[in-house]
Amino acid sequence: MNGRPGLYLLASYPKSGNTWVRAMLEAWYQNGAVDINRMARTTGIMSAQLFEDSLDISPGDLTTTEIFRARPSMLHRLSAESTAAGWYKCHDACLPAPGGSEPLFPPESLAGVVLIVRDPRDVAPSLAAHGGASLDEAIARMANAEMIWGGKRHTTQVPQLGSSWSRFYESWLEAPIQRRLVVRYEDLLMDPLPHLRRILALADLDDGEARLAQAVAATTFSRLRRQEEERGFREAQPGASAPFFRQGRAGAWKTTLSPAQAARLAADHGRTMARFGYEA
Amino acid sequence: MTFDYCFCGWRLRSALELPALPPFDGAADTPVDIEVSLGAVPPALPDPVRSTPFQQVGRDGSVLVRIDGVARLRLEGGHTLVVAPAPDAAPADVALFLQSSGLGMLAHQRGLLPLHASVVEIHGRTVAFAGHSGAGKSTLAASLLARGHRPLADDLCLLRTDRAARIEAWPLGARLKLWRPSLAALEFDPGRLVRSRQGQDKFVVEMPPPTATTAPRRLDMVLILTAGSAGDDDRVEWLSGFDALVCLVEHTYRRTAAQALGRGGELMRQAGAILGPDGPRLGLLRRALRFERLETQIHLLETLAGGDRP
Repeated sequence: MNGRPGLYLLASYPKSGNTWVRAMLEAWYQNGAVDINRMARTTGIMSAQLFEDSLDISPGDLTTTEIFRARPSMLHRLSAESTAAGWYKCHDACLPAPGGSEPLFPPESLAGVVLIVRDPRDVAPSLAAHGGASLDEAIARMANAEMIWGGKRHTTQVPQLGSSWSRFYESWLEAPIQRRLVVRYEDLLMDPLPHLRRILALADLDDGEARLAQAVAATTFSRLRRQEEERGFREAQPGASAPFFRQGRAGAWKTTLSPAQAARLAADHGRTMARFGYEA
Repeated sequence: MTFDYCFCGWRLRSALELPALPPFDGAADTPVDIEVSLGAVPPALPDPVRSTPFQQVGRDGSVLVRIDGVARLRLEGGHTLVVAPAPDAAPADVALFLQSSGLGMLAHQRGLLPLHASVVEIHGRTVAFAGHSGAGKSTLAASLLARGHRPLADDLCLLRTDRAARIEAWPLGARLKLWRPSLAALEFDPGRLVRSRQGQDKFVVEMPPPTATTAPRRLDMVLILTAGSAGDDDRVEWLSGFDALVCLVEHTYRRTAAQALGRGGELMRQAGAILGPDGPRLGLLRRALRFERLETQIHLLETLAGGDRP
């Protein structure tokens, strides 16, 4: 099953269910067999290896600005060379490349975008635990429109323009993308199967209900959590204060955030939250 | 003024200083094999078979490397490298790309197999650590240096397969490039180091003397740096046959550009020769990318290097 060729982004702010969606896709492709430490079909668009193989240059020899300027050409190349639906995790906002004139993601290079969104009040505690930061630090990061992920550069990822939570989603909603799908984490929790079907349909992939059900069954929160407990998860951050698959719940913020913290998130992001049906 | 260096046993004469190459120590009347000179370089090749913003490969096998604001390099026939520095470019920045893209593509033109790897001598064994960008090659080499072992190359390991059925790994730079977080974890003081490039938070760690060595080594081991998860023990999984061959080719420096040069089949053949009966063992070093795990990883490597070949 190749699907409609092209680049399909799984775009989300961090800690919003991206890895879960990737695991479901991996499980679908491999008929239910998924190893969270080998999710090669849904690698990150921020992979330094992908950058180097596409552009014939070591990102480690480039400045952050040079990398941002070059990333659009990587997308053009990947798009031109694509022979099947290619899925890529993405935590960049859809904004002009810093220091460049071209958009970081030229719309014509993208075959489709799955925008995965989660209530920012549940993102904040998860982001704090993942990054080994305090809740207030996480909330401040989510409000920082200039936020760059991977800016310290010593990892397997190139720097990414994360921007703020609101700007991230607004930028993707505004972009002239032909095939765009919004998937709410909370809806995935209620019943993942129809959403997996819609995600696959974005790339004209369909192989019946049994295969969907198998993929969903293989990637329940408890099964992914068990894989992490038994073998660890190599994408977890070194400084994390909790497992990567931490709670997998919606609405936990009501007991985690102080009223002031919840109010600050609503004040920072209320307009965008409303667009996705999150009531302040 | 020119500088004479040893590039895999060949005499390389350069108009620019290339601190990552050992000085030429052969006979004074040895002819020059490779000439690096200053001159004009056009912004593009007329008929490229592969083109990225940073590099083009021409139908005739020539290569153009272009880094805006730093330099353009044109490589021909594996013997001529013309450098056109950008106005106001820092000489160290020009040398950086000469020593990475420039020497790597020159190696391809000369029919070598350049591996994307750092090389360290551990207990008398020569071990190449291959890995993609950010896999931790230089950090591992630096932590081995801190334990008294000797790095022989950083990021680029040049293998010659053309001499008397012997595989030779040639020492390159006596210097390692490390990002600030790696320096901090290894307790190097960035205040005393030179930046790898202007505007980068990456620094050059020079080797203690004796720095330069031009003698080729027999390569004993190739370990592919592979991300493992923190829940698993760090370990080596040995590969053989076709799996090992594919893995070695996959870690060729600038592999896709080399294929555009028409080297795809030759790289497979060379990798086969390298992994012959007397060749290095090849394995995946599956390890958690955690600074606090480096010590046990070093211990694992010392044990491996100290042990006898099975």
